[in-house]
Amino acid sequence: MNKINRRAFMKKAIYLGAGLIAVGGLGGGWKVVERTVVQPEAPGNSPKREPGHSQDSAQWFTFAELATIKALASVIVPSDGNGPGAAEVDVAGQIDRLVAGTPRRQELYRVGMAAINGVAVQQYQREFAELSVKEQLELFSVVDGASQVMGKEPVSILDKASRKIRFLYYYRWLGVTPAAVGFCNSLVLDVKEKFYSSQLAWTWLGYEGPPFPLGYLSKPDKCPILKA
Amino acid sequence: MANLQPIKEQVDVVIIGCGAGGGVCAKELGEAGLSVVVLEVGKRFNPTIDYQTDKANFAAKWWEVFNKPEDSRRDHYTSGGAQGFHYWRVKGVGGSTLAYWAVTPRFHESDFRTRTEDGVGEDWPLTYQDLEPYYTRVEYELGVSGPSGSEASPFEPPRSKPFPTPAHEISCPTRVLQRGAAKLGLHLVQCPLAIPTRSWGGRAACIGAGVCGLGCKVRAKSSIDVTYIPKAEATGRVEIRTLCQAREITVGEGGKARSVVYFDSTGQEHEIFARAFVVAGNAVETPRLLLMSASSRFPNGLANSSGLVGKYFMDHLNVSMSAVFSEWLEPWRGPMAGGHLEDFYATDKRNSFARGWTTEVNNGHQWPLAVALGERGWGAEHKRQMKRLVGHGVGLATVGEQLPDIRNQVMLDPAQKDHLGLPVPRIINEPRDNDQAMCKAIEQHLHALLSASGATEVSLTEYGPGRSLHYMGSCRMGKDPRTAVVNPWCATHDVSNLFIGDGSVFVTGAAVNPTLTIAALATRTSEHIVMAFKRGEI
Repeated sequence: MNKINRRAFMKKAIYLGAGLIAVGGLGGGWKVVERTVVQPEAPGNSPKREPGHSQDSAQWFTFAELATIKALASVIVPSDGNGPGAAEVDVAGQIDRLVAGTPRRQELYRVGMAAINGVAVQQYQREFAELSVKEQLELFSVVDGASQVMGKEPVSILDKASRKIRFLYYYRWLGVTPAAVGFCNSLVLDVKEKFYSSQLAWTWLGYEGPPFPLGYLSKPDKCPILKA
Repeated sequence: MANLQPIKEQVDVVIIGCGAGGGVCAKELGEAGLSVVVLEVGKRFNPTIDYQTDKANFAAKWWEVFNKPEDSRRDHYTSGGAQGFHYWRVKGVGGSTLAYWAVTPRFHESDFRTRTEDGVGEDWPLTYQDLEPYYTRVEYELGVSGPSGSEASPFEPPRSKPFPTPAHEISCPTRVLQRGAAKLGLHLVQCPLAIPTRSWGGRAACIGAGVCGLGCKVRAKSSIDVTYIPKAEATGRVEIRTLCQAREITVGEGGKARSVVYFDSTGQEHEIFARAFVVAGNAVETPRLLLMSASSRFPNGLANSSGLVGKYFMDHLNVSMSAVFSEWLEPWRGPMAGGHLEDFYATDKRNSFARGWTTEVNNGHQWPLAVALGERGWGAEHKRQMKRLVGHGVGLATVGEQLPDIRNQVMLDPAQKDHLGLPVPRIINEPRDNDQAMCKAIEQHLHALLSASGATEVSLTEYGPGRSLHYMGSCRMGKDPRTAVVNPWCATHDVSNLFIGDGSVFVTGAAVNPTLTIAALATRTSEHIVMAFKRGEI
């Protein structure tokens, strides 16, 4: 297995990031580094879990998994000088309960977390939750970049070639897997839903909702036109 | 029909579909003393229980409310054309009024004579004046709110009575847009809304929750299920059968419609006989049922001797633009529809296209979660965007008149079947030359209006077939059986006791939301059916 340390990992990203702007510049001199990728278990092979399945678990996640989700959620909605983040409203705990009650998500999350940790171990020799915040951001950016390779049909030959190169870069060279990408895409939506449904987020953003049972009770006195 | 029920069931009228057309017919016919069975393919929604708008995450969950049929294959369709077709509607008691934003303007006088005035489309076989009393009746059933005097649209057609309830207060985003409209000499006013501003028909007034399109939990929005349906069922003569899919209208030896064969919720087939039938599925489902009802007498589909069932299918030209303002707008307050501008409604001879459009203010989906899900990205940058966008956004959307074109049509897909084994609809609708030219002009107008209003950034969503959710034509009305499917009373030319009660009968699509016109026509059609019963013609 070719191990790539963190510095090499980022150098590759910078090199290819620049190269992708001028796709032709990569030419045939670039070699795909064969990598061993942690393969998720095939669907259906996962052990059955009951909510609160052991003393080492929350509702659904093991504590180790919960730590992974906490770290990921804080990457997606960080607590910073701009305002509160996922940690302040226990988004990870909410997602734990969500997954416990949603069989469809259980497999997605279990396989996805293994996949993202697999990428982390390959690149940094540690699992995602053990990485520094900077490393977590780097890794999540890579997975996000990989997700953008997929999707809409290419609009030109150049676009097609660019995608092919980016695909090789993310999926073959950096070891990102479709499972990691699918999981992160779903997690972004789940984290956003939990955070932006919270009173804390609403207060931060100046929203009074939800509108029922009585509608918005305060007066719309901030409207600039009404003030005028 | 091997497993049909043995008991022969007979009523005066069977209505297929329970939306803005069928629901209105049910009430009018029931109150006139006729026995009515309504077959509705969707379920009956309970606003208190089913609508999720009291939940913290309502902005993410509402879509599931109206888009989770018992069997996901129920709503399958296919589409042709270069851009495909986005077909969306609500199936249930109340139809798409459950999710409409309750924008209920009337058609303009010129809409009924586009051929005469502008040399495009076709003239309707009736006039605005013919329909005006029915518009008024529907407005009073729904408690439509609207502006009057100097606050009213200068382009509004004449009306015999004022709006039943006063207009909603102008929202903050609309006020901001009004300053741009004023600079351009345009007239942005509050639009007619089927959302009473005071208690109406035993329902409480609107509380400004701003979730009209997600289902109104307090029943303040005048959807058909909380207005016409209770009155229909109160007659004791109207029965609404939910989760029932009609698959064929049969014809007797005399050439009259005889029965409807339908599937109930368990897939069991039934046959119900009646003296008259009203098909009101919408402009896609209605031609689909007629085409599925082909027989030896009507080999090309029921009531299709003209060959026009499914043809001249129309959508509205919905071009939209979202904008961000530096001011705090609180766009979630009040109805989702924030007003309209009709300055470009009529044909302008200086344009390269005929007819025009209405511009509507769209206050919807500005809640934090809706913005978060709509704004791609994550991390600190996404948070910065959220702080910048939430409370500062508003949208504009247009209802542009798509001219009828025989190439735009609904047909039966030759291969795809739904969960009951019935052919799914295949929809072809493409913007033609006039439509494309209008869309370009609309884009320029939206940009000019938002710029004049002080928007700091704008984002255009180009026209895409079907996105207006307004589906019309496909069984057009006319006096000549060779060029129309129904006569001026919405009875099919070929089958005298078969009526069409939805937007399928529209000859042209106008440039306003179609619900009020569908309901007004259904009222008029019902009146004709009742008279025909009384005269012994049915």
